[in-house]
Amino acid sequence: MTDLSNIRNFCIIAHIDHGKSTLADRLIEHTGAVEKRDITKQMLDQMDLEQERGITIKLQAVKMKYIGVDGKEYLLNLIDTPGHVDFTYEVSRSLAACEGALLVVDASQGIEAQTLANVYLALENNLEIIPVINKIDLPSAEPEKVKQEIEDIIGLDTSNVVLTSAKTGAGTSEILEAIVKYVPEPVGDYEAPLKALIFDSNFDAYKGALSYVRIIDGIVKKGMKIKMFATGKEFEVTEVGIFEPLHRIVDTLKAGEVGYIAASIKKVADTRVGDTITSALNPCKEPLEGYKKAVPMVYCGLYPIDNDKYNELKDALEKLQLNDASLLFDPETSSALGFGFRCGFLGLLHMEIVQERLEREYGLSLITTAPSVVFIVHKTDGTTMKIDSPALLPDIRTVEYLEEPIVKASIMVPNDYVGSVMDLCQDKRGVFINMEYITPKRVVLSYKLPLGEIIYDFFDQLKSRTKGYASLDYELAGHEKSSLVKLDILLAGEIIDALSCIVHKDKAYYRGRALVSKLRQLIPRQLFEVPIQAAIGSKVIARETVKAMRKDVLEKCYGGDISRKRKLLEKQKEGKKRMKQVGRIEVPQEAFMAVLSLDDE
Amino acid sequence: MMNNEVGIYIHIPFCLKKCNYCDFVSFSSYEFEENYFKKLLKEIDIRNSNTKKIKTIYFGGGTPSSVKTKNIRNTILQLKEKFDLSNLEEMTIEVNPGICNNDNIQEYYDMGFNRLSIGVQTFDEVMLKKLGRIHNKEDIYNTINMARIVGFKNISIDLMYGLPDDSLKRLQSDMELAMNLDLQHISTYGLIIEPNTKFEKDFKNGLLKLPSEEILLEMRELINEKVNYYGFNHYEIANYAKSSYESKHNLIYWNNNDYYGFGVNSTTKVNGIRFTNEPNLNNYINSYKFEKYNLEVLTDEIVIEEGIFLGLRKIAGIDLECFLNRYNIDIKQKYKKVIDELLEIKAIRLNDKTLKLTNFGIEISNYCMSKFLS
Repeated sequence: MTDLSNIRNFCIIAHIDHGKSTLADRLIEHTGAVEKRDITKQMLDQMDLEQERGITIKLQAVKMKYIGVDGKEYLLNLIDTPGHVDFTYEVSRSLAACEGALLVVDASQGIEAQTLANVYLALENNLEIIPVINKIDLPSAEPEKVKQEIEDIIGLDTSNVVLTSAKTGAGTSEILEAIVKYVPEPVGDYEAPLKALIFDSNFDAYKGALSYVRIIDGIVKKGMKIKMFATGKEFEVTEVGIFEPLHRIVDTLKAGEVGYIAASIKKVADTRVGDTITSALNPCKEPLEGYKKAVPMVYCGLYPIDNDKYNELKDALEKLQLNDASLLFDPETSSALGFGFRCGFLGLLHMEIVQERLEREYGLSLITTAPSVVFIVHKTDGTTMKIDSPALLPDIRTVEYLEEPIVKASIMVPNDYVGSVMDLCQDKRGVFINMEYITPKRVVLSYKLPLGEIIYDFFDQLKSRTKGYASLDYELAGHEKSSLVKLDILLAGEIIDALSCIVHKDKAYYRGRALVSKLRQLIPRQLFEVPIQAAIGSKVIARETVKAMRKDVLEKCYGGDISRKRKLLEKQKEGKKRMKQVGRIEVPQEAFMAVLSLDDE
Repeated sequence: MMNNEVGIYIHIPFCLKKCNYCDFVSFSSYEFEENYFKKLLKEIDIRNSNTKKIKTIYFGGGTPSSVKTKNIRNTILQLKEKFDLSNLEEMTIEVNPGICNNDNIQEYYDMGFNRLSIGVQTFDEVMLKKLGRIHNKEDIYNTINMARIVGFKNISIDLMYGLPDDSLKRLQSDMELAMNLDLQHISTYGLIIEPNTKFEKDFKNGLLKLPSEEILLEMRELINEKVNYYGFNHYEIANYAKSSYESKHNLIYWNNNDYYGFGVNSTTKVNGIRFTNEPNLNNYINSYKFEKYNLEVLTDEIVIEEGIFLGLRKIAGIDLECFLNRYNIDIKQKYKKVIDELLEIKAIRLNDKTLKLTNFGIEISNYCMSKFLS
């Protein structure tokens, strides 16, 4: 074994808004990894989108030098983790790359479900956890109470807890010292065959797909032949480097260290998160445990508003996929929307992010159809098929029954809201599993819920019914048989395939009526009347009409009005650009997502 | 379509009382009147130009007839000094019934005004109250009579329809009364609930019962029929005139020509730029500078597109040859797709000489015009 006593690899576990990024910035600043003037707000969240949404999507890492009170120089590698349930697997892999974790809890908010889920992940990976209570400068801070909560809920010893305010910088040096003191040094062997854990990947236009790795054993350097365990593919290393947090080329990466490997890898799918990199000539015997291929949970159709932009959309998706191995897409045709793609995502947030990046970074105007889960169709002839789109549901006469994906959800909620959360879960066809008081005031509710219900407005409902105090974590728990029907929407008598959805039989009538009413509000008046109908099979269950536009005129238009008038007309025109021509009818983008925003009563 | 005609608009922002539907910049604080005109004269002085012959002058408001005639006269004297008025053809002042006495009207005539625009809105006493107007039916007749006696031969009135609790019957009666007055010009406006007005508040509170779209369309039809019968030409979406009495000033706007706007919140478009003055009365009066708001440099594209949508406002439509000569654009060719589409739904009519909206096209004119924007 090699002496790695001056290295510490750690990550930060925190709920959104509990101050993870600000804290990371403090550590970076304190250790001088980045000149103070170069610190853009929240160094680790590099994508615009991440900074805007305050969440980490793409992992980052940074290496810091720290002189401990013992006078020794330490190398601290901070590996960032994404903070959203869609990316649980990615979190587990970055945890696996560390020996310790800072558990950051907001001094006034306490522990949230997502935090708890990640703490359990960290404990599974044998990480040493250092509790950090943040935002102690807030008037509402109750560090003692939160400390008690950490002991009660997680069962962690809080004698080593660090009180901090990332905002004011208080407690920063204590954290660094605690890392050195409590996080175990890595165990590894320089002499052993190369064994490196890929905890993330990133596509660089010049260097190809970069593998972000924690070296467990051995050494990697330029010119070496490496092999990916999962795919068996081999590459020649062109560069290795570390994160400061900007990339800096180094000669070697050795056991215990964190860095990146460039090897002219064409796509990130060839450097999969969780996979093990080894030497092609002298491979290790076993890969590291825990590799899973990311499986999309949510699918939707993406179509260019302008049909001529199909190839641009394809190029953009291909480019995004270079950097996002969990994004899947296949060509799809819709009679209403023309040519587009069926895309698979890890979750709703992932879907929104991809959609937003396509629009923002690639300037595409898109129609996104309502998200769907993967149903298993059991046919009367005994065969089964998986469908990720309502349009693929075969003739109902050939269908014996359907299965839908189920998740096991844990909802952490203050006890005052237990009733309303249970009502919500009931509404969403949930099956109660368990209720546990983790403190006298906080409850964890466990439910089995159809994933299809979660991807509707579950998050929003949960938030609004608990004033934002509830937090949710879930994991896939197989498929179950369910009474599902296909709900079709007809505009001017034509079924619009992109608006079809598969819903539970008991909810079909309500959904149909609500959807039709919502569409009537969303579809602007056309020059002719547009009837909107909802139907199950051939049976129409709801109908409304968008009246024909007969008057759209501005009578006063004098000198001072012209500029305003022009803007009004431009807005009108711009609105048209956001519409998809479906037959003769102009349908706005939102209409295709309308089913997501129905007010469930 | 000449492009060397220039108009001047003077904004008089004072009203005795704001009407319930009005969102124009107006103030009832007459203690600022003297300072306002001081600043107005200064603005005219600073922005003087002798290079263009002025064709029309228009005093609008607010209620121009509510300020001292001395101030109106001084403004005109200032304009005479600072601009070339040798070709002036039309000079209009907006007058509100009941807010101008006989002497005022005589003075306006003597100052050189040759057109009056009277804010009648309706002859219905109940409706006048609802609108928050401070005049009554009698005032309307008095004002018009006096104008005639003084010698005005070009009188226009504004009428409103689509009012709270409005009916075709009420409009019919208004139209009859208006037509019997032997006017030269009439403008009709459907009520719009503008933000930050009393009507908006009432509307939100469910206190206003407004006619349906079907009724509004019938109302416009009724107006068209009546004015036609009495010899008016429908020459712009909301304007009707006896032959040769079209508003020359407003045609400057619709012909995409240049105009100066003086006074608070007035808009100027000259030499390819457009801007609006300070909208706040206090700032307008007290600031040392004359700030330009919403300053736009009018690109060829903007000029052409505005040429089209303003041109389409005129019932006669766009003269294709003039358009080609002025903008170097063959509309038929450049907008073929849009034109075909609008022809198909019978919203426009096209022949060798002109492109114009049909009656149906007028009712959905925003829809049609927006199609011509890039």
